[in-house]
Amino acid sequence: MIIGIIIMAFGFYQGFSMNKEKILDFVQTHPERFDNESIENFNKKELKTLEAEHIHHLLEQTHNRPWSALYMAAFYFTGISLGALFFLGIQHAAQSGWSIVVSRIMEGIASFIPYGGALILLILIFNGMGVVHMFHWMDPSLSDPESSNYDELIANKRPFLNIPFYILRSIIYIAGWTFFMCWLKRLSKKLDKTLSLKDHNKLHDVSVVFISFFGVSSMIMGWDWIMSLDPHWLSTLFGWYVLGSYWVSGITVITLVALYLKSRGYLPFFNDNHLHDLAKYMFATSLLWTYLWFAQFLLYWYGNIPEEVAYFMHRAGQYNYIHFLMLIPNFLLPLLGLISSSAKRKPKIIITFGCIILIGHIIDMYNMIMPGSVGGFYGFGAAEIGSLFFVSGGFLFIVFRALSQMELAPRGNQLFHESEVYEYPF
Amino acid sequence: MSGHYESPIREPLILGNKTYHDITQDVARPIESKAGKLWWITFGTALMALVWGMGCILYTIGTGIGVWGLNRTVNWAWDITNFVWWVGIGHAGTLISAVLLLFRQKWRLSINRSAEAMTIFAVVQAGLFPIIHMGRPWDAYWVLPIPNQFGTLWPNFNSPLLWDVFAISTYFSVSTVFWFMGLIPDFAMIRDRVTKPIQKKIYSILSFGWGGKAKHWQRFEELSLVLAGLCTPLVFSVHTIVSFDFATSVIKGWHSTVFPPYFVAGAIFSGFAMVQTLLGVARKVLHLEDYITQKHIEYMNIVIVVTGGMVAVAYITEFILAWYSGSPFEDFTYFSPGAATGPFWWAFWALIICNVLLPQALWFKCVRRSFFWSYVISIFINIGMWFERFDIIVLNLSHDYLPSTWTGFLPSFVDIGIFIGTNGFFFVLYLLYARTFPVIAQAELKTIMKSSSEKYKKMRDEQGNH
Repeated sequence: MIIGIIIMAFGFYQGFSMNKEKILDFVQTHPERFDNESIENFNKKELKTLEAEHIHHLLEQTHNRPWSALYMAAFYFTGISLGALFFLGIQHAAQSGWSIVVSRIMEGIASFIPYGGALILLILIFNGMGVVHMFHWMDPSLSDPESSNYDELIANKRPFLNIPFYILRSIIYIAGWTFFMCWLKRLSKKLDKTLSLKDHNKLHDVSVVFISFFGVSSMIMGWDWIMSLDPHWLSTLFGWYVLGSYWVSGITVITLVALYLKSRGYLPFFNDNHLHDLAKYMFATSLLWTYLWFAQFLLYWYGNIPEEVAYFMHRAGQYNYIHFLMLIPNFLLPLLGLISSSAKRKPKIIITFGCIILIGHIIDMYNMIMPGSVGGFYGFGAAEIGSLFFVSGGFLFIVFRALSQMELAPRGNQLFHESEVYEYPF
Repeated sequence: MSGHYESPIREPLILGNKTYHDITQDVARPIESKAGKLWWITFGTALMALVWGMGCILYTIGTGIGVWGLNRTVNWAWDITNFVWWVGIGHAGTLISAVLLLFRQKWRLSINRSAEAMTIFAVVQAGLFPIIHMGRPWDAYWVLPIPNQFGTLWPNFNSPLLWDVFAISTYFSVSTVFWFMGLIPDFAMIRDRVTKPIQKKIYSILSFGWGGKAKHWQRFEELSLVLAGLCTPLVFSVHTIVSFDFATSVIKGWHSTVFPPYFVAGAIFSGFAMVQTLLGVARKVLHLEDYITQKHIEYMNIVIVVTGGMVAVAYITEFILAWYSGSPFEDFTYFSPGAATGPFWWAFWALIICNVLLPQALWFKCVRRSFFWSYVISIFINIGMWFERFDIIVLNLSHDYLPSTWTGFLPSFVDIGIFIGTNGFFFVLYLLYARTFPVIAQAELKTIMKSSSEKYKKMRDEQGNH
């Protein structure tokens, strides 16, 4: 069984590695191609009306695009792992019974955190070194009162938004999450052997500490990694909005992986009742995301203050209203498709809507990241598709490798039997 | 028997060697016996507070809103604070019933009935404040969108205050239906036990001819699920819209997007604190120690820690991002260094101490399993959550954009009197409820008897039978 999973994972890896090489080649050997295209477009439209100074900035934006695409893919998949780890932490902290049969899948998905985190960190460090310019606030001239670029608002944010502190915070998040992920995995593995109540309780305690750490770090991470792309704009809800997006993606991936493994016969104990519960979480977190989207949007729409609505205007006009259109895959379709009890128990329906949700949240990530870093030079081409293939290949490889190395049934967990016989009371 | 299986590590939720009949008797006892001295003393005190409050309300209506402590700058203070405080308290009941029902949490069954009753009584108190504040309560129907021919004005649909009218009235009606529906089998149980003809008649009407047939139960379960599904978004919507009131209407141009989810979390936080306060008393007075166990208290305290944690993260966010915005006006908002050191420093610190610092004691297992300490902490949280709303409104309003209008706020005796009056009213309703209603959902509680009672757990252990 385990060998089967390894072969399968290898198959996945092989399938995607072609794209990976292709894309790496593409990004490394022809970076000019993107830029030339964009610059040509740019020449046609606006060059005459702009001053020479701005051209430099816009040039940077066009250079940003492959990086932003990679960053988006890295963040998307790291977020999925993080969402799965958060969900796992909740299961242990709440002593939940039904979900133990899929807890190993959550552990497997969470295994990608250090790899995805390292990729994000690498991009952030490149930004800090000035190789890439996704984060406008990293430009030192903005806080130099002598410079013509001086920006008082950004200069005032320097105690928080400065490169060393920023990188340090990023390292703390990634190291912290990785640490808890490894700890939880180790404990759960140990429990299989010892079967002791003490280890079981420790799993609970570690989860509680992790959730506390996550509660604060996820909020600030949202400001750092995403919100600071638009350094003049802020929203106190933002950290939770980002959380809403990767949480629903994480739960969806847990469900899809469980269904896949079940179809290959590796999860005989996973049945309709568990699927039903996972699907309920897909439904509930989709609505939670929508709620957060709405809460943030409504207050800014209502206030109608120029500095604040600029964020939405930018996204609405230049980005063809994807800010609103993404409500279709992220809210409307899950709402209509997953509300019925019987639909939640049909694997085909869940796979369909799972894919819709995953695509919808790629759009959400795109909408959060691109306008701040590439401005008008966006597109959805080789850079984006390639990055998604590249990172998803790595993600699937790591996740399935991790899953192949573990016993998929956490038999040592005190609640395993409860989870096995779990029956949804209609 | 898989339906009754429960891992042996789970603590029992019904203590003592209870049989099904014992549960019936324990629940029916307060209704069938005469009230004790303690009940009469509490009831008398609550009634006096209610009478005092009614006097203050009549005085306000007769004389005008001028008898309150409001002024031109702080034109909204004590009344709206109380309104939101009561709405927040009204949150836990439906949360316990609806959300915990969706999560199939067995521990909810001992406490849901009382929590739902609390919800309804708290929303009644909340509803009083906007009506009194109108000054002309006989025109209260003007808030409804009735065509102008009726002598009303078409309401402003852009105002969150109008959304409140719909949100809270929907919440109130659905919660009442939910509560009443759950009561039907229990009313039937009392109907079958009482002997006096009048009582029998009343409980027969209330129980809607319940016969306990399989068909009845099937409808009951289905309706529970549908109502729970409807209530869950309502729990969110009510406090979201209340948060919109503040986010859009307190200081023009000032809003914080974290308000909606943070208000929802805060409402659950304060609602559970009030459930603790009420059940702490009810448990002793009505002798429900076997049903409201240490484990129940612990569960509730964990919910308090989680929602309190969310509120604390929101506070941190408010504080940091207010600075991050670079706007000098942010230093006058309720969460800023200016607030911590300004004239309302005491209100700021009351909030921090009651809502953030003291609840941290619940991290210790001995504290969160202690009836006494959870009771004490729950009272502090009630106070802290009152201050949170007070801070958001009064601190923000007292320092707006125009320094020449800056001023303070002092409540008048009428403000305080009305607040005390609503507390009295709340307890009057609650005490009457405790004497006439089955305070534990006994019919539903019996469904977890085999899985979660001490007696059956022991039997399983002895027979080694899963």
